[in-house]
Amino acid sequence: MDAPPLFEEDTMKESNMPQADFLMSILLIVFGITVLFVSIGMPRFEEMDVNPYSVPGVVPGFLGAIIAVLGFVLLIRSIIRKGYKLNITGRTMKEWIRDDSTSRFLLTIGLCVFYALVLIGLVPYAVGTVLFIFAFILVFEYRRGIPLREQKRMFLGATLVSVLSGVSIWVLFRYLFLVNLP
Amino acid sequence: MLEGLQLFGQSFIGFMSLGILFNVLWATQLGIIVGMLPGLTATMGVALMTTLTFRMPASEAVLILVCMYVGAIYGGSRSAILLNIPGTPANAATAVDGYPLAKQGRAGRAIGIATTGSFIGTFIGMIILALFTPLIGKFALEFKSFEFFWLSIFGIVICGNLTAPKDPLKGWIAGFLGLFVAMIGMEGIHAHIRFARPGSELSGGIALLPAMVGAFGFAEIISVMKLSAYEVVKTKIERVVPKFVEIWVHKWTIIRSGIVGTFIGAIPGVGEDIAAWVSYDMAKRSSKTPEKFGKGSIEGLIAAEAGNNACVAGAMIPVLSLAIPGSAPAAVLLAAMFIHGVRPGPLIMIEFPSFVYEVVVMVLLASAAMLILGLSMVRWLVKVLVVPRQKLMPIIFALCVVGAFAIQGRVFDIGVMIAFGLIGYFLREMDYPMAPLILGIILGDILDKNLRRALILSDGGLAPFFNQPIGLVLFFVTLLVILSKMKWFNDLMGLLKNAILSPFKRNKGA
Repeated sequence: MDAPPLFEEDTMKESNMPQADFLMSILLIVFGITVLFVSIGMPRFEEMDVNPYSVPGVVPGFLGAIIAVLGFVLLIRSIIRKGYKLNITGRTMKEWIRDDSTSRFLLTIGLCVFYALVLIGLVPYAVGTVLFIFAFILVFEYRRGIPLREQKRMFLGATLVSVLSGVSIWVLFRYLFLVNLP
Repeated sequence: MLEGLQLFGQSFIGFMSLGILFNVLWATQLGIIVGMLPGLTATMGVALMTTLTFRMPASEAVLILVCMYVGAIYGGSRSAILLNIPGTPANAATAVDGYPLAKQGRAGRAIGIATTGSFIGTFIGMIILALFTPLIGKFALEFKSFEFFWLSIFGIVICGNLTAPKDPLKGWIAGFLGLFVAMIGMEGIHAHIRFARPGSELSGGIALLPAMVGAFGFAEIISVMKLSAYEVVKTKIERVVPKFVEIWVHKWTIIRSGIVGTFIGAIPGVGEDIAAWVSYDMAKRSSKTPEKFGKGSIEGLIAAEAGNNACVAGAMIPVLSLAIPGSAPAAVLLAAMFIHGVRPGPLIMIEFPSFVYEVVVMVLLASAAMLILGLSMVRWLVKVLVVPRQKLMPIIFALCVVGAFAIQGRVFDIGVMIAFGLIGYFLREMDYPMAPLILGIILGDILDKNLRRALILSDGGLAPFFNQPIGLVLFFVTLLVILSKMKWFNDLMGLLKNAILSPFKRNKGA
């Protein structure tokens, strides 16, 4: 019933799973216990003579306890699988940073977060979107070491795609679907 | 029954206008394109479409969403066959036999078979949807707080179990984290603000749509950009429309996959991907030629596609009758219905009796459009797959931002989208499924109100949770689902089975 791994990375990441589980389980236990204590500390409205089973902390407290227990099960399992042997060395970090997919991953997150949280507040939506799409295409299609003159087509394509799509999203939402834009 | 047919007929006539049929065509076509493109899932398509349609009248908007949903689940088969990359997770089983067929130069045939299988699957699902929704609705009228409590726990446990078959613990963790997310903000009984400062944006709670656009949209964009680029296979596409005999010989496989797919769809949170795998697996077990599976078996392809598309209609059964989504895209559909003022749930057959049959007609129209569009324009549409991801993904992300913002007009929701995208990405990398998390966000409110109400009714006693028939059944099924994943329990069951069966075996031997 399980899907065959479609990409090599699926099988590669399996080896680090006990370590990831180990860290995640500690996070879950701490989180669950914090939620439990915050829930216990929630008001009980005793002065209003409220039924003690209806107070706000009941359900989150119950959930916090369950999350902590599930985290504990995960912790034990990861310890059995030797997940506490964290394999973070200078070499593995360097390999991770040098990996091509890491840079693509970080660039994507960086560009998207900058556009959504910074750019949109600074400039009008349409302008921000055109700039973002242009920058995104440029970052991933620019070839280092090749003179700019030879990359004219790429610049032209990026400009065309970004202006066309940015403006059409804006017009479509603003005037056709009457949706608010940020 | 007769009343149902009458309501169905009325709804059908109501939808017969040029404008509406035009909407059906473009929404299904857009759905097929969304489904085809790796990195764009049905969930995201329906979520973005909710934003686009929320100024439209309710039935028109829901129709467009249903068309998008049906189209996207089918559309994913196209890239599964041509690229060996399922366009949506629902089509992973399709790729197993579809891609070998394409490599053998039979891509057109595979596409035609997948289209017809999807159509018949949706049709079977639609019939079950029409028959069962009113029944379950009536049954659910009996539900009280105790039953709703068990139903929400059951939903999370079974969803976690089936969406993370290799490691159900992670499915359950994801589900309970989702339930916790629903606790943030103002609660419904005493209006106390939990886990947020009063007056802060967070005190309004975390809305489902921005969270889903993040978990299924932004997270997917990161995954797609991280992987190395895919190459489009150049295949010639010959005849697409399948011969009648090709379909007829597999009639039992199609009917079985349709029924199985629909019922899996009806299980809370368990979606098309699981439906496809289970019907594929069942087809393989009962096939006369199981050795062909994985090497280009028509039977396998048709089972997977009939299964995942039947699931679409199945997922709407609990949406309409219980207000609990059967799959991730159905969760968006449920949210959209609430936005448009339709309140699905046990009371739907009393408050909006015609709406259930309107949804049935919507599924029928969407599947008809899918069949027509799927069998035509094949060669032209394949060109969409050539669009490079670095051009497509920023456009999708710009849409995600609008999608998160537009419904409530809060910049805060863009932040929610980004946060859920990042959390969702890392959780998925560690094999935590997203469906239970989303289901948890929806069930959290039901759990919160009903557990407290139940405790008030029983004055803190636990007996009423266990001494009523529906609640007791739900409790035992939940327990069984958890225990079935424990090694010691399975060993014990094996021992018991042997102990019971051994006298018979000995007799047989003698």
